[in-house]
This record gives sequence, structure tokens and C-alpha cells, in this order.
Amino acid sequence: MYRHPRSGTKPKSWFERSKGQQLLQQQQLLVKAHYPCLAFQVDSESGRMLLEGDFVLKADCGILTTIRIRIRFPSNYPSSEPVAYDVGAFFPRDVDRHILPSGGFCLWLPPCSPWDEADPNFSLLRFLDEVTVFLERQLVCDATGGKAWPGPQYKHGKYGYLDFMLSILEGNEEHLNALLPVILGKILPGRNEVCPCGSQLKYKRCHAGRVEHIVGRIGRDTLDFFFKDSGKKDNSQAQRSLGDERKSA
Amino acid sequence: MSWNYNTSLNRVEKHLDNMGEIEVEKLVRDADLNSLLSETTCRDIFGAHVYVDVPNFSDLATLTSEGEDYRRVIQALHLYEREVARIVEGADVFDGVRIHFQGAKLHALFFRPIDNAEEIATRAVLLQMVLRHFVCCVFNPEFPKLPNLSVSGGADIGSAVGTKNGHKGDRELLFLGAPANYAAKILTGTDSLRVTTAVYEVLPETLQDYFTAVEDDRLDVTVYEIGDITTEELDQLLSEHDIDWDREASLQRLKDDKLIYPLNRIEYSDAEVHIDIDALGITNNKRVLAASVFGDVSGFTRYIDRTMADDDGKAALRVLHAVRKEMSAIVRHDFSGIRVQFQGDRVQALFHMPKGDEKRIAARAVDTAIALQSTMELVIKKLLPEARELGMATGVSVGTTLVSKLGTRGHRDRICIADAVEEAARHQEGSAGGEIAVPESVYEHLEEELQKLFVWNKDRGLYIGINLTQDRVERARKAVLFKQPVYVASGAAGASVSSQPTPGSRSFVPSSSFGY
Repeated sequence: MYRHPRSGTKPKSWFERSKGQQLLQQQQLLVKAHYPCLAFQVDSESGRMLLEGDFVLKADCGILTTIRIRIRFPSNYPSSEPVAYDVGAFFPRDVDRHILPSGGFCLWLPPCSPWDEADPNFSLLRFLDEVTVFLERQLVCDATGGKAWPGPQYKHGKYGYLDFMLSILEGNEEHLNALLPVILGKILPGRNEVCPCGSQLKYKRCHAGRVEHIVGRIGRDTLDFFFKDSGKKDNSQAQRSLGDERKSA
Repeated sequence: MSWNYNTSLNRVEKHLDNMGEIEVEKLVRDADLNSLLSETTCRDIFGAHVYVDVPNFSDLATLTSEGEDYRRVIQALHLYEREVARIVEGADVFDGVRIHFQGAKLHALFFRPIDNAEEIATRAVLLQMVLRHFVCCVFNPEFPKLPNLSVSGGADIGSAVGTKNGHKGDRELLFLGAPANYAAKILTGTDSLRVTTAVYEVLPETLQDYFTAVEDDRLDVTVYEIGDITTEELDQLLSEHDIDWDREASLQRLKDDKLIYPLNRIEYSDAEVHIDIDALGITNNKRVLAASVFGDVSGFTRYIDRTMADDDGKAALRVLHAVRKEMSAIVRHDFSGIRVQFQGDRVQALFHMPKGDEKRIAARAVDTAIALQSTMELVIKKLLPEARELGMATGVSVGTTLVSKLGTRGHRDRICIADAVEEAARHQEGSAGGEIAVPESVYEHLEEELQKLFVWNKDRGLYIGINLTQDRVERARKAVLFKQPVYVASGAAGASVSSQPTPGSRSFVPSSSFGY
């Protein structure tokens, strides 16, 4: 029987619940085996679970580079993924190097996250491995002069999301321009209407699935946050300007 | 064929553990330095260091066409060095110490009579005069098919620490300190004989009259240049200072040597297998495409001079021997090169391949330079914090090189002569600690990712790599790695990312990073 928590009682964190305790034990073993210089601990101020310690990156020639990292777990873990921070300010806090002013890492575009809440142990190990690769890329960036980010990356802010949309639309910029108002919810075509992309096919047989996928992956709130000013007055003009901006970003 | 941090660390730790207690005392009585000095028995020796070079030999070794003319160059070089060694070391002549030949460049020391600055400086000056006269009036006429040879000399006086490297059968005298350095630095490479102000000031007035003061713009100091001197004046000076050099006897010895080592006994060949330099000699020489590397511990002269002034030269010598042995191990064991010789705090190395693959030779030489830099920055400074003010300056060049071992029995020097050798030395001398200087001819053979780490220096006409350590170079090579699946391995030994699977590694295509 469900009971309301007593007023004034703080809700239990994920690791305080019995299922969470079990998960924590499993993940402690996982971390000990693969990243033994990291340890779980509760942040006394926020009451959140942290995974903190050294990432030790080994070059082929045997030189070790030690980087102090803190990983913060959200209160709804494992439904949401953790966030990693460079607490020792080992690298410059530079958005072009995908490090926020807080020291947080932008490991991936959120809709492209490999995080799978159904398999939190696999997901945490993948997350730690992605942090390792991210740190290695930072060291590569340092080695090559600190200017060029090695490997693929999304553009900053909304332009990164536009790139993601474009990748789902197989790189067709005309389709993106035509469908962006639909993605942003400014136009709501009927499923049996002609698809806005100009294919003359019914929307449901053309781009309906991809648009739903894009909206589902990015989330309506995120779309509203990044594109709130887009297409307010004149959609077509807004789309053109977005396309131009994205190219120059 | 690569440098490894842990291997280097273990080697240096072992060198330090096995190094005995170093003793540095002032040399107060005459001694045979070859017998007295060792890695741990070091002496602070007041003396005059002299360098005398015949720069033409590098050009001749590089430009002379193959055949009899080339054999003549080899013969001339061998006979020149044999006779010069006799002149320097002859008890009745100069009674000096022939430290070694660096190619055709003699490094000699005068320290007798002990602490007698005037007499020591006089010998340093007279040796330069005699060798110029010998080359011009005795040696050159005996080799009329050679061009007119020029002589470049330099001398400085003061205290330098003498020591020796400790490898069996491969022992060399090493001198550390300002005079050993400055005597070489004031050489012009053209026909001129020079001394520093320190030498000039202690000379008798009769000798000072032969000098004129000139400004050395490279070093921003005043040096003194010896003017023309007649044969009669030279004989008079030698007589006044009891130097018994007999030019007729020198000529006769040259003629005798020519009979013993006629042109048809002088042989040279390309290397079909890796060169064993110690098996070479006057009748067995090599002419190979090779890369020369000079690695110098920059700041060491200043460091040892300061520590000696504080009566604490032992720490500096400990650093020197640790660095020196590790430089040798890197050249010989990590990159299968030839450690030609130590010249004070610098190492000269040579890299060749039997099939003369210029691309691979150049790449290996640069990899060695990076390894020398890595050892200095990551190993030596970790184990010996007192070395923190030191750096590694390296110069590289590639070209056809004459390789041999020459001198007199029991006292032979490994030599490599070519314009490429001189260029590599110059590139190193012009570099600060942390720099690797390579010419375009080497740069063009490097892989693209490595090229990106070098910057063109217009003034020097060279590509310069700054603070290139092995981990940095490895990471630069990884810049293209992240578009494809990577393999992450992690555990107690740390985490690594590579393009190839390793035991227990996990593979995935890295996420595309995002800037929020």
C-alpha cells in the first residue's frame, strides 16, 4: 500500500532504497575491478552519491597521467545518467574542448547518449570508458597544440541538435528546412496529409516516424529551450536563417 | 624499436644504485689522466683546452667522388690525426693530453706544469701555431692533390672537472666546465686561430704581440686572434719555450706512414650489415648514408661550474653519469644506433641501415631525439630533482658519412666525418633545452602526424620541435583514432585507449562530443 511520506521527511536517495543498495554493491565491485582508483562516497553537502578519484591514463610508452575526476549521480539514478567533472582543473574549461565552466564534461549530445537505464552496470562501465576516451582526447588535443578537437564532435548548442536532426534525415538539408517547423511543433500535419518534405507521399508513409524519433530523443522541453525563438513570425525565413547560422557555427 | 618509460626508469635507477661514491679533488700534482680518472675518481683540473679543426675534411668526405680520390681523403685524414696526436702528446714536444678527435677536430688539454697559467696558456697558443704551420707547410705539400686546407683553432683556460666514462674497452676522458666549452665555441670554422681573454691575459708579452682583439658577435665577447707568423718567428718562439718540434721528423713520419698505409691498402665500402665501428680502422672504412644525432645536456656547464664553486660537484657528476649512461643505452639498445662518442656532456650518435633507407634512418634519428628528451624530462628530473634546471638540446641531419676508427694503436677514436655531421652538431649548438632541430631533408621523411609537432623557424631555416616527449608524440599519432572503434583496457595498472584489441579490452565507437 502506498503511503505518502510524512511532511518534512526527505525522500530517500536511490542508493538508500533496497534496490538501489543492491545496485550500489554491484557497481562498487564493477568499479573496483575496472577503475580501482575511484571510490563511491556520499557528498555531505548535497547528500548525493559521488564516484571520485583518479583516472590514470597510460601511454604505450608507459608514462602515466593522473587526472582527478568526480562523477555525480542524479537523484533518479539509474533513470538518468551521471555527470563527470574535472575537479583538479587539469584541462582548460573551454567549451571548444567540451568542458563547461563548472568542469563538467559534454561527453555526447544527449539524444545520442549510449546510457541504457535497463542495464545500469553495462551503462556505468561504458560511461567510465567514455570518460577515459574523453580524457585521452583531451591529452591528444594538448599534444597537438590545444586547438583542434580530435575526432567527431557536434556543434555547440542548438546547432549540435540541428546536426543530430540532419543525421536522422540522412543529411538532406532541404528536408530539414521543410520539417523543422513540424519538429518544433509549429506545424502539425495530419498523418494522411502530404509530407512537408515535398515528396507527395502521405506524411505517415514519409517522415512521420523520423520526426517522432527526433522529438522523442531530444525531448519537447529541450527543443523549446533551444528553439524557442525559431519560426515565431515567418517560419520559412527562420528556417533559412537557421540553416545559414548552422553552416557558419 | 622504441623508448619505454619504465625501462628507462629502471636503467637509470640501476645506474645510480651501482654508481660508487664520487670523489672530486683538485689536481695538485702531475699524473697520467688516463690512468687516474674514472667515473668516480674525478679531478678539478686547471688547464688550457684547445680545439684545432681542419674543416675541409668534412667537405672532402662528403663531396669527393668515389675511387682513388676518396681513398686519398681517408688516407690523409688517418695520417693527419696520427701525426697530430704525436705532436700533442710527445713528451719533448707539447707534453699535452690528446683527449680525442671529433671527426677531424682535435680536443687537447694542457695542464703541466700544475697551476702555471702562463706556461700552460703558452703551450695552448703554440700548439695552434704549430698545427697551422704543419698543415700548411708539411702536410698539405705531402698531399698535393688535396685542396689548400684551412685550420681553425680555439683555446680557453680555467678549471674544468675531468672524469671518464666507465664502459670497459670504451673509455673516454670527459671534461666539464667553461674552458672545455668555450674553446670549442670560439672556433670559426674558417682559417683563424683564437683564444679567449682569459688565455690572452696570462700570456707573456712576447706572445701577446701576435694577437689582435676581435669581437665575436655570436657569443658577444672579445676574443683574440693570432695573426700571421713567419717560420723563423715560430722557430724562435718554440725554442724560447722549450718546445722541441722537428718539422723534418714530422714529414718523415708522414712519409713512413704513407709507405705503411699506401692508397691500395685503404679500403672503404658501404655497410651490408650493421656497422661494428670498433672493427674499423685505416684499412677498413665505411661510407654510408646515415643520420647524425647530437644530444646535449643544456645548462650543464653552468650547473657544474656553480656546484664546483660551492664545493659540491659530486651531485652534478652523479647527474652527468646517470644522463650519459642512459643516453648511451637509448642510442644503442632502444634504437640500435652507434654511440660514436661523448663530448663532455653531449652524445654523438649515428644511425644507418644496410640498405640505406633514408626515410627510416631519418625517422629513427628523430625518434631517438624524442627519447633523449623524454628521458631528461620524465626520468632524470624525477629521480634527480637537482637536475631540474637542465634540458636536452638535440640536432639531427642526414647525409653520406665516412665512418671509421682512427689514431694510434691503443688510442683510437671513433670518427664520423661528413657535412651532415657538422650540420647536426650546429643544429644542436643553436638549440635551447627542450628543442629538437631538424633540417627540411629530415622533416620531409617524417610521418604527417609527427610533422605537425614541428614548427618552421625562418631565421634558422630549420624545423623545431619543442618539448616533444614520447607520450606527447604517441598522442599526436592518435589524433585520427577516434572516428573508428577504439579499445579501452583498464585495471590496476591504469587505463589505455588503442586502435587494436588488448586482453580484456572493451570496444566501442566513441561518442561525438558536444559543446552545450
